[in-house]
Amino acid sequence: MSSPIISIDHANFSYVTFTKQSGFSGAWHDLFHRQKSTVAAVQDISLQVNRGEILGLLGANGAGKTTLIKLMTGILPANTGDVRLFTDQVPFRKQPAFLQRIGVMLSQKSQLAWDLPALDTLVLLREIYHIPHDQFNNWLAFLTKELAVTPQLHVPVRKLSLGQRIKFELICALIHRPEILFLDEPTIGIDVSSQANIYRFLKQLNHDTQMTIILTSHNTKDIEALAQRVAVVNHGKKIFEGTTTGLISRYATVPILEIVTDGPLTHIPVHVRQVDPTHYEVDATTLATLPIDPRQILSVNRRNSDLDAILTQLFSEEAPKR
Amino acid sequence: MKYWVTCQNALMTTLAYRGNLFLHLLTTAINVLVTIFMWLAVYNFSGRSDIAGIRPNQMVLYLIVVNVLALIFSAEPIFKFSGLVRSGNLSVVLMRPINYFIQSFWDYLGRAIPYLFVYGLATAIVSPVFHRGLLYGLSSFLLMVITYGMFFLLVTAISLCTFWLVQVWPLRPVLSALFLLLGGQAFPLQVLPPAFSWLIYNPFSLAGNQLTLLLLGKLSLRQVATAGSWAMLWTVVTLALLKLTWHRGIRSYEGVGS
Repeated sequence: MSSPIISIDHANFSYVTFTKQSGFSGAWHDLFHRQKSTVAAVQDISLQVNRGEILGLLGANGAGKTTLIKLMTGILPANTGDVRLFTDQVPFRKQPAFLQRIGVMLSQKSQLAWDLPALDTLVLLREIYHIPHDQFNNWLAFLTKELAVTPQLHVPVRKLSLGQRIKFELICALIHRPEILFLDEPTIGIDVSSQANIYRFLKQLNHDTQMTIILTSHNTKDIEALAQRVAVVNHGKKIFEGTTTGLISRYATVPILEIVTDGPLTHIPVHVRQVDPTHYEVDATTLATLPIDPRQILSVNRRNSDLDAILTQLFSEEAPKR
Repeated sequence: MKYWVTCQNALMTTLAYRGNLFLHLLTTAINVLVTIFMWLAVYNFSGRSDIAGIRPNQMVLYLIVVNVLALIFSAEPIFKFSGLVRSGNLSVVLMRPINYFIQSFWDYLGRAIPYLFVYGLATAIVSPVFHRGLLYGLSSFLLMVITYGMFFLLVTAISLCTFWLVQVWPLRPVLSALFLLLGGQAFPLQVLPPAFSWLIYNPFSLAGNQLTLLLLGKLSLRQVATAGSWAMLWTVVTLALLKLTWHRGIRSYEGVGS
């Protein structure tokens, strides 16, 4: 069996941050005695990704998934532990041969020159990555056609819609045909049909070229549509690794009863969670009978947790004690 | 070739906002006019035909040239780099198989091309620089090239303080003041008392005062060689500083904002 294309072994990374006291006296105090604190963004994470895999990284805001991408792409160095790509490449060294083999799209960071047409940035990338002109022209024509942005190639970036910009960012990340593609929130600001177009395109690319794709997203549709395997990160720790169906079957063991009442309950029984004044949820496995007076119930609906519900439950859990 | 495309893109970006370019030139022209009128008033009220050996018409020419040089030797890389670090967009640059400093130099050059064109034309047509023999012309050209590289490295080295400072905008008036006073943008450093003559070899003076005197034909071959030696010395110092701070700074970079 071939060795994994990405190998993370007990990686840790901490940020140093500052806490500021409020008010004028706090500001005056901070001027001379700034209080530093360390935030563990990635804690003892081990992960392996095989060539041609699509891995989804899931986590709430600040969970550590983007930091993990930064460790894998070499933007940040691991404090302890080991991160290696292509068997022997340490990302933080940023060897040109390594950078030539990865493509990165950070949705909130733009590669595009704001005042110039996207084509000018792409021509610059052609020179940076030493792409032969014929190959560049053919590949660019294919990418722009697939993502439906050919007419916008000569339009200054500042005049493009958010969705068109995101598509050109994706093209920038793909223009040199990387072996590993890192996508951080690739569908922010993209309409539903364009999202579907991007999913189809990335799947086709993965199938045709065996390109490894690492994807982070808040949009569970992205993950469900693309990822063959997911890793869930919470408070800097990996809490699950497996398939999306595995994630659902592992955590969706609890059927939920959704109860709608004709008015707010004066007393909310134990095991009943209030969603809004007339909408309640009950864990169906905890109770043998409904703890709500049947005369007040308008409807009862039973559902199993979906990925969104599972993640909401997982992300709302307290930070694990160290 | 990749760096040449960077240079082209920088030039196109400068030309993209015609109004911005025009207003920038207009503001500079007004500043120059104010300084010129101030000096003409000094000449009139002092009743002297020259100050430190400089006549009024020479002073006017000096002030025009030194202000064109101030456009070429801009401190913009500091604020550009600061923006990259604060927004986290440096991450995008770091992901490219490219030397950031070389790319940044060509970007710096591309943005200055319109002003370099004016300075180059003035040097070739008006200035006596290239009419004093091959050795003088070659030495002068070398001085210009070394000084340009030195100044770029200096502002780049200063820009790296962004890794530790959140905001670098307070540096803008400081750098403007340094160029005005130490660079000879407000007055030729030659009017200072002899005790301050060593000031002409500071990096800002080499970029402003010395290159202006060169264009006006006021530097001997020996002075050109001395200025070139100082420029090389500053180049070595800034390169060492750059190497030291980059390796420390990049480890403290967090790529904020996801």
